[in-house]
Amino acid sequence: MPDYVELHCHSYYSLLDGASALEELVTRAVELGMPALAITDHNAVYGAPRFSQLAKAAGINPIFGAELSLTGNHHLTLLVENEQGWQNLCQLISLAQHNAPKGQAELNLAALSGRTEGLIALSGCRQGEVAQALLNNDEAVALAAATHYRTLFGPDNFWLELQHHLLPEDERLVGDLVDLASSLGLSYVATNNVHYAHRADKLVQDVLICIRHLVSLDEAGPLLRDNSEYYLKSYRQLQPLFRPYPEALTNTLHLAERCHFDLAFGLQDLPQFPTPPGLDARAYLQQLCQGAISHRYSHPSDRIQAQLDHELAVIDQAGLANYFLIVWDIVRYAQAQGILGQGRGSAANSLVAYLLGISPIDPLAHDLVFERFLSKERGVPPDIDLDFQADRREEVIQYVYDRYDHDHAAMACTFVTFRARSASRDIGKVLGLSAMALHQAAEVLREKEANPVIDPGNANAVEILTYVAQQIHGFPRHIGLHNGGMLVTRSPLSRRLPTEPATMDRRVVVQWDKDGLDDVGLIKIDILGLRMLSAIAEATELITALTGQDPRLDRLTFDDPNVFAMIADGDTMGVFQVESRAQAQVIPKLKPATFTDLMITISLIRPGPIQGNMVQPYLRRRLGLEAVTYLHPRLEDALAPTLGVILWQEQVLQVATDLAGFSSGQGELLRRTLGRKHSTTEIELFRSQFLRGAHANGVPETIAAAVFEQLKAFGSYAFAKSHAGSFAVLVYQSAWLKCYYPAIFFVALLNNQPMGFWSPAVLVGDARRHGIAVWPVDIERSQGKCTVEEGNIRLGFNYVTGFGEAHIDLLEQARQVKPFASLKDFCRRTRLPRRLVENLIVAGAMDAWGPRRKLLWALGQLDYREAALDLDLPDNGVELPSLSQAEAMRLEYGVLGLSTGEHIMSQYRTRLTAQGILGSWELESQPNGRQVQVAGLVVVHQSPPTARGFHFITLEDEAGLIDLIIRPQVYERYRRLLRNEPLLVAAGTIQHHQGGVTNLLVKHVMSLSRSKD
Amino acid sequence: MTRLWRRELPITVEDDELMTPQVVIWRGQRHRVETVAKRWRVDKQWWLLRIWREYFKVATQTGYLVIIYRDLQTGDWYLQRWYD
Repeated sequence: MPDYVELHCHSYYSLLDGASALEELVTRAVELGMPALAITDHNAVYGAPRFSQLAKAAGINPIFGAELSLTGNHHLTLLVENEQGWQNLCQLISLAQHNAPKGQAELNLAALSGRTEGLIALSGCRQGEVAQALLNNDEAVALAAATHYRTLFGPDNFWLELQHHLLPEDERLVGDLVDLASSLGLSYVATNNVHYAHRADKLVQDVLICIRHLVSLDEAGPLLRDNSEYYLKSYRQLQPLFRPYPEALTNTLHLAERCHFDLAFGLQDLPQFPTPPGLDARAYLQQLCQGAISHRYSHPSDRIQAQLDHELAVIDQAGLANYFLIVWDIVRYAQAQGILGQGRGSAANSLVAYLLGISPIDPLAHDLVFERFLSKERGVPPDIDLDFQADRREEVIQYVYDRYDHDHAAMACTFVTFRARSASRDIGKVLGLSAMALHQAAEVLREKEANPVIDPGNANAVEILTYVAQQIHGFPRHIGLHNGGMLVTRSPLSRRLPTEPATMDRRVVVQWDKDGLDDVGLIKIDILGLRMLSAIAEATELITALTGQDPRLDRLTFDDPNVFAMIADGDTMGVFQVESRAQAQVIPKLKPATFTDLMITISLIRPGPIQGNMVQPYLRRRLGLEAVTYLHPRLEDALAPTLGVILWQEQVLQVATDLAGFSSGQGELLRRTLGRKHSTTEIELFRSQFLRGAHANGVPETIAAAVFEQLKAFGSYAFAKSHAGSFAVLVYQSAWLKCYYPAIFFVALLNNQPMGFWSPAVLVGDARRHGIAVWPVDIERSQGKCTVEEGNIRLGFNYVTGFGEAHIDLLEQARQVKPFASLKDFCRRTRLPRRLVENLIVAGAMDAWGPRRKLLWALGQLDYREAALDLDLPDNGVELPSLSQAEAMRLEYGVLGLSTGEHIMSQYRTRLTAQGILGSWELESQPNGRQVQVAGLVVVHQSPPTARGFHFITLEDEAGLIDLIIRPQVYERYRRLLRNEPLLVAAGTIQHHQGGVTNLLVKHVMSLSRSKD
Repeated sequence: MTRLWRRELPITVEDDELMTPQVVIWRGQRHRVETVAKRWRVDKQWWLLRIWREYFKVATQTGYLVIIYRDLQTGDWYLQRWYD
């Protein structure tokens, strides 16, 4: 059977048009016996790196290309023949993308001139200029267009594209194109303009098209294709359609054979970092590191010098000296600007990184192995991510753009994808479903059962919706800016890969995401923003202002027993990474006492170890309740530091090496594959390799299989030990701040929201429990941000809904002239919008001038001209009720997002006590197993996917928190209540655990207001 | 004059191994197909009642122009339009 190669094929990277993943298309092409496949998405090569990998793994030749949109609404199919063609394609796509508003790429025909070498152009689908003219019976135009393209590309590189989808005019069109080819001495080739892998996928494409155009299926009309012929077809299926022109099919092979381009770049693409005269990159790097030794170590040992020499040699051999200098330069800039930052990820494994100030911890002191950062085997780019203060991250990004300019620096993209549940809304609209049916469908999707393939003819709308939602789960929907992944290149970007304008001004984004960039070996540097760093920076400033001395957090040695005692006590609200309920439940059992313990803590309570069933065993072993055992003695070396439990990526590597004989490079690849999204086939390949290697080492298969399952469960997310190390630094620093400067600490947290696990409302509760008062917004004393006043917290105007920078400036300027004397004075001098003044009154800012109700009434009577300022208020008007205490509290909460007065639960306490309902402070003394009732305000409601239907709710009352555990059946019974009621009474069994952790295992729930009886 | 049937009217068609109509049998009379003037497929409205059909506009040796279609879900043939 002669072969056929599909040369015009769209994947789901033709956004909201293509309906199949690359995996499906490649698999199908292989099934059909195609030796090659082209992917030609609209004005983009988003899928090229992934496609390249899949095709190579499957043994077929990947042909790169794109379908370009030209002015006049014409399409042109371009295929890459060689490297020159690739560069030209990138330039053309970039031009098309930058030419028009986002999502409407368009290329001027003239731009093709001089950019055609190495490209093969096919005349396109029905929207190709030539085909369109022929359909309009405009032979002269068709002839002129074809001639023009022939001139641009040359007769060997411009082919007429024949498509036959059994549309009424297709037969005639094909004939006309063949005649045209003959008259111009051109050749022709058949394609199928594929938009999905299988015929049945047409329904998915139809839904995507409707989503794109925001219409329902009934309204879509001609937007949908008339039939379902646009799938990957075999030679046998196409042959009858092109019976008079068999060369059309065989020519696909000739063209496919001409196209060979390997998508792989490398380190040589990094810009050459300028070094002082006489020094190359390696020498300069050495000089910087040597100079830094005395700065970082008071008593440098021989070991340090030996390690440095070793690392520099490996870095040099891997050609990475340049890369280190580039990263060092960015960090150096930030430090010079006073921007807090530190490296995360595997960089902490490197002494060089530590000496250069990139990493905050000494790898030698924490047993971090350099080989985990950089393996001698090539092909695996290193991984340095930088965290900076979130509020100043833009400055760092701008520095990189300025230093390397816009032709050599850009950001990685992200693909925002459909998630089955949120997609169901869009799909529901497309299907014209009622709200009730939508709700039903959402319920079904929550159960997450895999839907079998449906027959749309026999399925009801809800079944169709859930089917489609599951199909498009993971499909890219649009592209966005990756959070800080920056690419810097030596050659102009446009020669490497296409760029697009990002929605952010002056920002340019490349068409590949971080996985894609990794796959082709392009190195990027992640420049991330961390709000905790902003909070730490602010706290440091406040301490310096208060004490006259910089606390030098970077000089802290991680051994203050007060800090560890506070953490071990579970007093971790606000502390980086260890403040969640899950953490708070485990820490008192684990009782961290060292820096390594902090690393273990933050690595332990994560989906990876939870799913891999590591947490309980670790705790039992640590508490001496269980012996430390290993599934196999070969695992002891890797797992002894974590008591036999796999916690870190580095351990995955070591297990693969020690148990199954993987090389460190292979182990690294395994680890990376375990962490990726669409990797089931590759994981299976590794599994076989792992079992074989283990077998060769004499390990029984059941044990090897069990170990591999543990490694797999890990792939979802496992911390790198080095990453845990960099983060543990911030855990310690934030804990130190809470321990010694709690008021400043809370103020810094309040001023850098949203961040962390807890809302400001709960944070202020914790502050109060630490003996810090939280004073309301005050018209005379408050600043734009929260401040420390006499050792307590004074809320700032930033917490009044609607207050933006402009309003705060206005207020402060007026106040500087003279203090405000009255409401009238305030309004006349600031002329702030009435809504804002109302909010100030309700927040208690003007309590000095009279009761709130009276002030609100007076405001209504006042006549003043509001300044014309933009208000950033939501649309619900503030009502003016009679202000009872409860009401005042509620309003204040509505305006501030928190309450500065008493906790709302204090309103109910008398009644609750009379009913025997307990407060948070009374639980500790209850015997284990007793049936009690508690009440509180819901502040946390979690149902992690690992919890198998269990829900965890935390209630807050005026003295503290109460943790509830709700079994799936109980949750089902009280679902509506638990999802909607903010104030609850819960009845259940007291459970006391090690370390003073207490839970209530809930049996019954009711709303607090109902419980009056 | 042409007659267009708005609802499907079953008709008997003999086709070849490529499913191209050879003979149309209507009201007891056999009409051999001379040429297939046009042929096209539609696949629509899967969310209501799927219309998946292959249409043929044929000229018969008996001098008629006929549009028939095959329902691709059932394989049955129907008459769409008969031109006198």
